[in-house]
Parts: sequence; C-alpha cells; structure tokens
Amino acid sequence: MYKTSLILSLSTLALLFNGCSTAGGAGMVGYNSNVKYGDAKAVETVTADFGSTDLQSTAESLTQSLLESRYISKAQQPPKVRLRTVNNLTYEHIDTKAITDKIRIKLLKSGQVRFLADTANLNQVNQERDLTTTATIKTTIKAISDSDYIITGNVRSIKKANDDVKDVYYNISLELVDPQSGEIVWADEKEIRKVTAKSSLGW
Amino acid sequence: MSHTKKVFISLLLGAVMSGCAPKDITIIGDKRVDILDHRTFKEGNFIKAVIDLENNDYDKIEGFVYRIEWFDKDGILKETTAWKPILIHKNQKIQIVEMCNLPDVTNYKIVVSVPEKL
Repeated sequence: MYKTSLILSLSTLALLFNGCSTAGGAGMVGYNSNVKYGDAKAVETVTADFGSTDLQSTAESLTQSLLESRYISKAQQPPKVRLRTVNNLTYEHIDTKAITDKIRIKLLKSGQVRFLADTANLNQVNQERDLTTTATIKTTIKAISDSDYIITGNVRSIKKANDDVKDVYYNISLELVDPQSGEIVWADEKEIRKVTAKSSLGW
Repeated sequence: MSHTKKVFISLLLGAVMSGCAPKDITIIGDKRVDILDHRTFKEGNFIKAVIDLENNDYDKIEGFVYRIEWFDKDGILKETTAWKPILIHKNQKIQIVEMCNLPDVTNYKIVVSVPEKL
C-alpha cells in the first residue's frame, strides 16, 4: 500500500513539473510560434509603396540638411520651431506625421532646436496651463504661440508601369519658414526611386 | 645597409601598416565593393563622415546596403543609422556623406553588407 501511494505521488509530481516547463526558456512566451523579431532598421523591399526604409532615410537626410543650415547651426540660441502639416500629394496613404515626428525627435536630440507643441495639440497645452496656473499671463501665451520658424512640406509621387516594370518616384520636400516675414529660409528634398520587375511567369 | 637596420625598418613599416588597418570598417558578405577612403571632420557640434566607395567591376552594377555606427569618446554606441540601400554603376566611384545629429559622438564605424550573387 505504502509503495503504491509513493509511486502515485512521484508520478503526479513528475506530471506537474512537466506541465510547468515551457519551451524556449525563461523570459520567452510562444518561442515556437512563427512570430520573430527583426531588425527595425533593415532595408524593407516587400512592396514598392512608401515604407519604413523610406521613412528612416528621409528623416535622417533631411535632419542632417536642416542642422547644416545657417539659421539653425549659426543661431545665437536654439530657435523655437513648430511643425505644420506636411501634405500628402500622392495616391497612397502616407502618414506624413510619422516623417515630421521622426525629424523632430532627431532635432531635439541634437539640442540645436526647440519645438513648440503642434497646433493640433495646442488646445490640450492651453487646457493644462489653465489648470496649473491661477492667472493667465499674456507673456506666457506669447511664449507658447510665438515660433521663430515653422516647418512645412509636401510628399509627391510619380508612378509608371508597363507589363514588365513598375516604377515609383517619391519626392519629399520640407521648408523652414519665418512666420513673421513669410520668408523661406531653408528647403531641401529627398528623392527615392523604387523599381519592381514583374515576374514573367503568370500564376 | 646593415642587417640590424633592415630588420628595424621592416618592423617599423609593419607597425605603421598595422596601425593603418581599417578597424572601423566591417564588410559583411562578398568584398565586391572597395572602400577607397573615409575621413571625418567637425560640422559645428557634429561629426561628419565622408566615405569614398568604388565598384571596380567592369560588367556589373553593385547594389548593397550600408550603415554607420556612431560612438562617443568612451566607445559607447550612441546611435546607428538605418541600413541604406545604394547602387554603384560598373567601374564607378561614389561618395557618401553622413552626419550624426548627436553632439557627444566622436567616433564611427562603417558597416557594409553586400548580398551574395545568385
């Protein structure tokens, strides 16, 4: 009787321990699934549409150009900049705010530029300020509303295709504008060409 | 020239050549692209790298990707650029210019990845 109960207890324990073990080891769930992490900065050529590689290379090259402009690099103190709309003039959906947000992060990291809240978020900033201050001072409003420069731009594309080849050309242009004078003090563009060769075999 | 002098010059040349070895370049895959020269200079607060590349093949266009890794004075990796695709036509040279947007970066490493030919 004692022997049987000992065997039963050991078997139950073995089953329990077996149930607790997970494939892949500590800190991993679903190790055997088809989901894998990839290189976020890898070149992506799944389709010819505007993709992550285009977003990253556009942000890097336009940030570099903007930091080289004398209105930023030679400024006495970091100018205050506000991002305005970058128009998507292509036929596909492109989140243009993703481009400007990425540029803003890079510029802020550089310490050469200060950014004001977007006009879309300005109401929230105003509400927060009204909550935290008992009396609204005019100079505070002025500090929030006055930008030295604004950034605007356009994304354009030209698509052409025949039976064998599809060609997409993207042009992303940005401008730095002095809102007081309306003068465009800096402008640059990033050009991207993507070519897809269609398979000669029909499926 | 005495034998001792020859040995000394050889050792000196060896040491100089070893110092010139491109430790800040990594080529992944086939070495079908030559990095002719790379140098940096300061652009305001930022470091700028200029890299000259050549496709010395007379027949083929080379397509590859590259990225720059930016390090601070302590050798800590501060930022990497995205992998960027680039084409060099046959027997052509190109120049890449990259600037880091972080002020405390002092050093860099070029990583070139050349795909295998099918």
